[in-house]
Amino acid sequence: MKKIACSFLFSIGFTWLVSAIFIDTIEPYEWHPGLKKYVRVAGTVNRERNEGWGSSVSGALGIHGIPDITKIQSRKIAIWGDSFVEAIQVDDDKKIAQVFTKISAENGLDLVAFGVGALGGAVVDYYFDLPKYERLNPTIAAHFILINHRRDVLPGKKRRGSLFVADPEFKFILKQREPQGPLFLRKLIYDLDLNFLFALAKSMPDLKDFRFAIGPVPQRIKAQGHSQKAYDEKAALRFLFEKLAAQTSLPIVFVYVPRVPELRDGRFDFTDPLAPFMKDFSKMAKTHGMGFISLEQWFIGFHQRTGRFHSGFINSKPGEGHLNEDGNRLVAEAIFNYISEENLH
Amino acid sequence: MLFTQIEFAFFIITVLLYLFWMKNNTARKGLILVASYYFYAYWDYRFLCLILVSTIVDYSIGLQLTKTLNLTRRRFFLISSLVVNLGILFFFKYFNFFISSFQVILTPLNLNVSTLNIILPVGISFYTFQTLSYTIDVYNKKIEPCTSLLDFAVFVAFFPQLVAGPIVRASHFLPQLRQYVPLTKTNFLEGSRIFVIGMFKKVFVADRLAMFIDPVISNAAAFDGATLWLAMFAYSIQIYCDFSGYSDMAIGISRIMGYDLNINFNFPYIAKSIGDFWRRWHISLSTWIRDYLYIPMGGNRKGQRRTYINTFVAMALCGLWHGAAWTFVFWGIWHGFALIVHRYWQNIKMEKAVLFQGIQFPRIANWGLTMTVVLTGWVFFRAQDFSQAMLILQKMFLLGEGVSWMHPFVLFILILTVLVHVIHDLNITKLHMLPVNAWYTPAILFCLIWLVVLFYPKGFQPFIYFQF
Repeated sequence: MKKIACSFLFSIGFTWLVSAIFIDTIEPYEWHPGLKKYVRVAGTVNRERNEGWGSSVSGALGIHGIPDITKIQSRKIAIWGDSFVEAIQVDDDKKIAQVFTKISAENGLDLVAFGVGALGGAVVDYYFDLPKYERLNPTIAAHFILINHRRDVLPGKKRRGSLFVADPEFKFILKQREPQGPLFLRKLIYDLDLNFLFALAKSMPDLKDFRFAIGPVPQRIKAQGHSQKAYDEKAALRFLFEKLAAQTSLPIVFVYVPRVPELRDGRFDFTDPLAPFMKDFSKMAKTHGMGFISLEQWFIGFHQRTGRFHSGFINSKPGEGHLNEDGNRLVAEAIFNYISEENLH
Repeated sequence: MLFTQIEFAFFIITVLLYLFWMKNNTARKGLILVASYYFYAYWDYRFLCLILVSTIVDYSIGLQLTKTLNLTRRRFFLISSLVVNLGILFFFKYFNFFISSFQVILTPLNLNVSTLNIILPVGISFYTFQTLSYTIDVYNKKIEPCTSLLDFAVFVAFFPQLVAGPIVRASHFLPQLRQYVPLTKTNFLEGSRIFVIGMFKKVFVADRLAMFIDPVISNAAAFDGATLWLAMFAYSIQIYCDFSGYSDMAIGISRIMGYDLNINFNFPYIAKSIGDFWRRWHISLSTWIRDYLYIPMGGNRKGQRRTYINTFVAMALCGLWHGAAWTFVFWGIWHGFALIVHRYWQNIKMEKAVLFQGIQFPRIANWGLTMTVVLTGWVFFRAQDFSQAMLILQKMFLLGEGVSWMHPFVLFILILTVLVHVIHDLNITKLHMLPVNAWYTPAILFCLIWLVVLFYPKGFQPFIYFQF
């Protein structure tokens, strides 16, 4: 019995060591009274190992890679987006904002970019956050918003953050994004690096998913159609642009990050199914005085020149998932080019 | 039900608790039978009737075979068993395959036979071979027929090995059912050890390798030769860890329950010849084919040419057993051809012993050649069709261009596998075998469990051999 107990303790130590290298960290959050939302605790390090291999240090306002953005006096570029801007898959110095700052410095411009990214973020979230970040950072020169899916800009349900609803009328509803689990527990797990316990809890299936009945398992038929009432997409986009324009006087530029080229059925697929939608979106953005950059040709050109993809890592399928080092750099270059051409600096 | 499902943990704990409590052997066997039928019905209860038909037919024929000495009647009973068992197997596994294969001939004759929407019953190839071997053994008077329907039903449906082997022989298993086997601490520790090793091989190694292999193989045209080499090395490890992992888990559970199943794998990738490989890979199938197919056809007793033909036919059927597709048949033929070439070479060496005196081929060259043959065979085994197989081989051997993807986990597993095999082959230490009495074994087993839990892949990962 003593041997078994000692062996078990040894295995805990081994697992702790393995998880400290190979398991993703759980991020501790705290309430920020100025932003009125939960942000990553400053000084904490997020380790991502499942996709890519990156370490991200949180600064003030939960912004990665910058100790305190509010203390920087240079003109700033705010880059908004979902996990593509969060970019935990790469180290801080390889994220879009940091690469942009570096390119600007190399070209003699005193511009500092910072990324406000959160998993599953959408334009409706940024709408509520824009004035708060502007208040804390008065030198912001422009906002760049990364989008990669229709759901980023159109009404939809089942979101953890704020909502863009279409029924009975178009409306933005502020909804606080709550971190999963008690805050103190997240902090404790982080401080003691007990991330394997969190991974263990995550790997446990839900009790309701257990099945003890004999088979065959009846096929679940997906509900047909959209649960939401049909709405006019153009009207929804008009509402979005008008609300955004009313929220800030600063320039807003949408940066479209498509999923092309993609590896599908043994071929490189260069056709973007979202291209027609984005074409209309860009036209409407321009009529509302907002800029639009599409990375489609940047990504395709890069692939044709180098044979590499803008997304995917050594430990994940090439061409799929989040932006890799090349993808982050390409987006930063595209933003810098736009700023130079449009004299936004 | 999969051994790697949480539901299985509840299931096996319940079964073991009842077995611990029950002292009556008949009641215990009854429980095992009910548990086995539930285990199978968990997938699809409708196909239990096939197991019942197979059980009743072979049990009855076994009894009838002892009642008569008349050779014609005995043959009739044997053929009846073959027709029923192989008929079921043929219909459920091969009907569509043959119809679609002969469509080319049938269509010009205006014979339009369409394929049917048939579900392949899980484990049908395994329990069919098991019941067949029983009847053939009784017919050949190698074993006495089983007089207890309960024992025979447990033999056919024993849940640890029901759906993916190892293929158990009646002569090995039925005697174990005759007496009460208590649950012991020794069996529990030994069985748990084997089970954990198997689970580690399946979940940590095979399932995680699949995340690399599947996208590479399905997009073979896009990847470069080096990536395809890595993918095929990885597949060699995946299929070994997937199948031997299942076998280990089956053997481990049986051991905990007090029953012994023979090993199914013995480090096949250290084989120095293709014959040696087949003595180490899926041993329960290769010995079945040897005993019930190759030897009855004449084996190597009817001259050199006939030996080659027998080898060829046996291996082609071995390929067909694995799956209803020509790529599997070709995989079998490929191995058959390699066995023939190897035997031919052995014969030349014997005939011209003087010429080869003192010439010793390096072990590593023999191993390298064997593994090249095995690896090439796996390309056909894994590919969806011949064109995909040829594309993979072409890109591998001509080092075709494309996207490079050297997944670090795959490289790590590859190095680890080579290391373990070298250690085993050179007999440097027994550490990798995790001997049951070694002081470090429990600690390593706990570590393996943690790794399985932490790196449990998302999504459903069935065992590769379930499809056979």
